[in-house]
Amino acid sequence: MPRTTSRSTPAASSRNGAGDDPVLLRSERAHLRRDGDDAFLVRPRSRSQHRLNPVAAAIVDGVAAPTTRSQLIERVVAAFDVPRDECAAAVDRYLTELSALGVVERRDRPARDHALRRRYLDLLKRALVNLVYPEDTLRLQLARAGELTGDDLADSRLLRDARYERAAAYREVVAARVDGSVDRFGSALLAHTMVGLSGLDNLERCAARVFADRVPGDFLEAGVCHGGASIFLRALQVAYGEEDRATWLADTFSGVPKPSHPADAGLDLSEERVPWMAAGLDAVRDNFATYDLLSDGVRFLPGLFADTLPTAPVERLAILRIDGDLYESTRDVLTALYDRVSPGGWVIVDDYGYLEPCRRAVDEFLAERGLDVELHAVDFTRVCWRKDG
Amino acid sequence: MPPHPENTERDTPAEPATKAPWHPPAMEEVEYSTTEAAGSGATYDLTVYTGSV
Repeated sequence: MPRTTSRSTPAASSRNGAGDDPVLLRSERAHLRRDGDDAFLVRPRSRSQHRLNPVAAAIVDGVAAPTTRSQLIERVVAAFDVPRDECAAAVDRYLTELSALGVVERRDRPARDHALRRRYLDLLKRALVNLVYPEDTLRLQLARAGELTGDDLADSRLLRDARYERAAAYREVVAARVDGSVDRFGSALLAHTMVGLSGLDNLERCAARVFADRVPGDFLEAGVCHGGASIFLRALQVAYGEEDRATWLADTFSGVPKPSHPADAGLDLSEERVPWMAAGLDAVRDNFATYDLLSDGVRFLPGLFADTLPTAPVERLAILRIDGDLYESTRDVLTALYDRVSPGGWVIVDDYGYLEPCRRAVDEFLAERGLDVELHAVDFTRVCWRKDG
Repeated sequence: MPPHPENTERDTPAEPATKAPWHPPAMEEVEYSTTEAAGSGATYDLTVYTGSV
């Protein structure tokens, strides 16, 4: 089946903007999981899992970001050998089925510039996760593995065709960039964010709901690494005309702190051990500038969370994204900022499934506060929940 | 970084890009297994946890 990274956003059809062309958006109660060539629709709250055929997987993936019905149909037609009318009827039937399961939300008809915004944000996502030049990961690996012969012509052809000459490795790199996981080749090293398309899609869904429901507050990411997810948060504000909201970045800007809490024993992700997870403030600012998104609305909070966040001049948050890896860091963020998250706002935790200390910090915090939240799985590690009023 | 053994082998070249065969969208329910996330009582799909640092 075609990888659904080919999220080509087709030209808007004449139906775009019409009342029968609503914006479709996947619920946080469901996510798409891939296992090799298999794809599954997972609904943890219902303890339900469905194996999807390739067309169904393309549709479920297609509504990962706000997408009109006509855009979705164009995308399926582009990927599969089917007449448009037959495709449209099948997509409508399947959307009805997905809606009945609570997998798909229907929003108001799109804004006039929806198609252009869709194109901008989709392209930005691919750039941020390095799906624009993923074969560069393979080229670097070929060089590091000593597979270049010194024959300029032969080496040039191998580097040119790396995507095809190392097809299995290429597929692995792409798959990791889609779900934000870690492949064998360190492809995250060459990306501005590790969160993958799944993580960026989740940010867009959360932001779209925040904007539509007029949830007040800024966006804040605690633990930004190279800044890619924060860059996307700012892009969402710009693309949706919500630039009055600020985007805050809290980080040491020198890497993950060395573990000091007993709960973090053995989890050393500091610059000394994982240098590529450390990015300086200047580098992050430069990354924002690369995407032409550096402005006064982007604000930096350099230092340890425990030092900066309690007194940070952040009044209200509509999105709080936590990517601190450690137990202590995660606790510090929740303690300092949770009460500043607006009702209806979203909290996203990057490392919940990946790192037990992070999961423990979240679970303890929720239990101590007596908070009964509906925790949604974004992908293999990320979770989010919406703060109740 | 030493080369991963699997990355030193030549892979089969990819097929030319063509449209995939059409089948109406379909799904079948399969067995679901979960691990209860400690503390919160929330159910998290840890069956998809595959990562390592």
